[in-house]
Amino acid sequence: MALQVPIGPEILPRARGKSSVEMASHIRTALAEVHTRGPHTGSSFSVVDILAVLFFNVMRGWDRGVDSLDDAKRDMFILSKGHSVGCLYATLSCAEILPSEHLGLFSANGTKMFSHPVRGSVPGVEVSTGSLGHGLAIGIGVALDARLKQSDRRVFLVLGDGECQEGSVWEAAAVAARLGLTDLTVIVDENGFQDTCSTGEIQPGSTLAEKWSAFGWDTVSVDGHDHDALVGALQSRVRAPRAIIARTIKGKGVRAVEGTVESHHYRLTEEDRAELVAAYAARSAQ
Amino acid sequence: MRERFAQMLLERARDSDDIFLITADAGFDTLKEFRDTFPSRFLNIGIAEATMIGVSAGLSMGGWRAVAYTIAPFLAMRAFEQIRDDICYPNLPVLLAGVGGGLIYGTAGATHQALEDIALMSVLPNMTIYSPSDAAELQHALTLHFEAPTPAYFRLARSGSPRIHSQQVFYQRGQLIPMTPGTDLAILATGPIVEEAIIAANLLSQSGISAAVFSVPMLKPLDTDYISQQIFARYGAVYTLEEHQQTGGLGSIIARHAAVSETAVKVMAMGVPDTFIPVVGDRKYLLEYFDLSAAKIAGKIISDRNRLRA
Repeated sequence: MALQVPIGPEILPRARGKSSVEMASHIRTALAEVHTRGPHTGSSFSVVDILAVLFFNVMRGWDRGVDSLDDAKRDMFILSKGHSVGCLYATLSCAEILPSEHLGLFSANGTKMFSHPVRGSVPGVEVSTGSLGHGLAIGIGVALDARLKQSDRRVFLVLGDGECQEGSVWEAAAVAARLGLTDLTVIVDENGFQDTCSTGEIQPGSTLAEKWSAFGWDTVSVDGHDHDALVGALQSRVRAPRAIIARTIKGKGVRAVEGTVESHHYRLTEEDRAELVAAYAARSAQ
Repeated sequence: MRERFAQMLLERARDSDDIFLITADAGFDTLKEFRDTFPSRFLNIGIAEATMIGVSAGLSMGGWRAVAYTIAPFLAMRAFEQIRDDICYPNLPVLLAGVGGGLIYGTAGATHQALEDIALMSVLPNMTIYSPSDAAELQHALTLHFEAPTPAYFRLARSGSPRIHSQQVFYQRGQLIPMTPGTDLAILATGPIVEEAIIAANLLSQSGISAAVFSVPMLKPLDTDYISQQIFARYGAVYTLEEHQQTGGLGSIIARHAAVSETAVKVMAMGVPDTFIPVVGDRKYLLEYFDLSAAKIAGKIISDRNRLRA
């Protein structure tokens, strides 16, 4: 039985004045609409708090709804782990940049709601990603552009822990450190799983924090669902590009697949959606 | 030609302060003057071709006229996915300068030869391919690029390229440049090997065969009406000539146009016959080895015509 979830202005209130924690709650609910339509549920739910903190606390220039896109100096966001785009769409909707009626069109024929970010297809999506390991080099180019223009525009990227298996990530990481791009921040969504297995199976004993640090990045590890910790890490003073290894739970909030490899390809069922909506209603009532 | 490229870029950079040049540890002497003159608009990114492409894309998003420069195989092949996803897909007007396309690094073995780059670049949507035969064609290629920038691959020769045009040359986007007139057949050549085509035409005329030679300075887009009207409609046979594998380059591009247009003209592609370079050879040696020298070209055309007559 399909549950009608009204997603509109009455559910997604104006972001101004709302805390990132409250906005994370709205994002999760919007995701209920998105991920009944298409896969990568786990990857979207693990980055909810990271995106909420970035878009509703830390990043400059994203608080004017659609008008934000006229501001060429707004901080740049690149979702290098492009398969988490569902969460980006949900976030952009909560930021009143993407009309919320588009969320239900995720992965729908004839639309531009691709299941990876495509530049120019959806308002607020700046860089086409999907093939892992591309975003960081592009982010370096944007940060370099800002430096050349003597602008204080910052660049924020979200990478996956599995994505860090790609050599191109480290090639770019070395360049960023050498260029001393202190306005460049990478947040690694360390949710412990990739497509077919746990990341530990592919890289046993790996500590991403050590690796990023070894490449010359100012590195810190935090709980990726703790907004205060994320904000603190994002606003710390650095003398190198900043890497935040954010420990997260893949599929957090989706009881059926939370913390499992299955969450990667998972698509929400109607039961899942009902649970998410009910949880949202319960939170709103408090 | 790469020296002329660097000079031409430098001249343009004096007038356009938005030109930014990145190299992946190539062009030690060639790019020195640009680097010394415009240090804030130059970056040696190191041996990191994929990163070079991503950084070019990011700069281009900020309005810079980015130029990414390295040896052709490492540019076109190693960073192919980045060129496709980060440049062509978002349609960012980055100039990709690949040095040494063709047989010019012949002593270095196959790893240093780009004989597949035209094939790879031509199959990418939004890509423009410039394949200048000499500095004059290159000059106009740069004009065309900077007046209407697109994702673009410039296939550049190394040092010591012949001078083919005695003065400035202009050509329309996607059109060919008539080099020598003829009536019996047409030879379409791209890049410095145009020189061999011209000499071959001379040799053919001594055997009573009138061969027209055209330089193909742009491989994509090609003005297909021009090809149909000026080439297919006028010549009974069309040969293509390139320092590239026989498949996927100029020969395939022209043959495909012939197949979809209303012509019965046969297109015969001359290039490297689906092999890696098996021996050490400088360019002259390898052109001879692969039957791509003027004398071998003329010989092949003569024997083709004799066979048809027999």
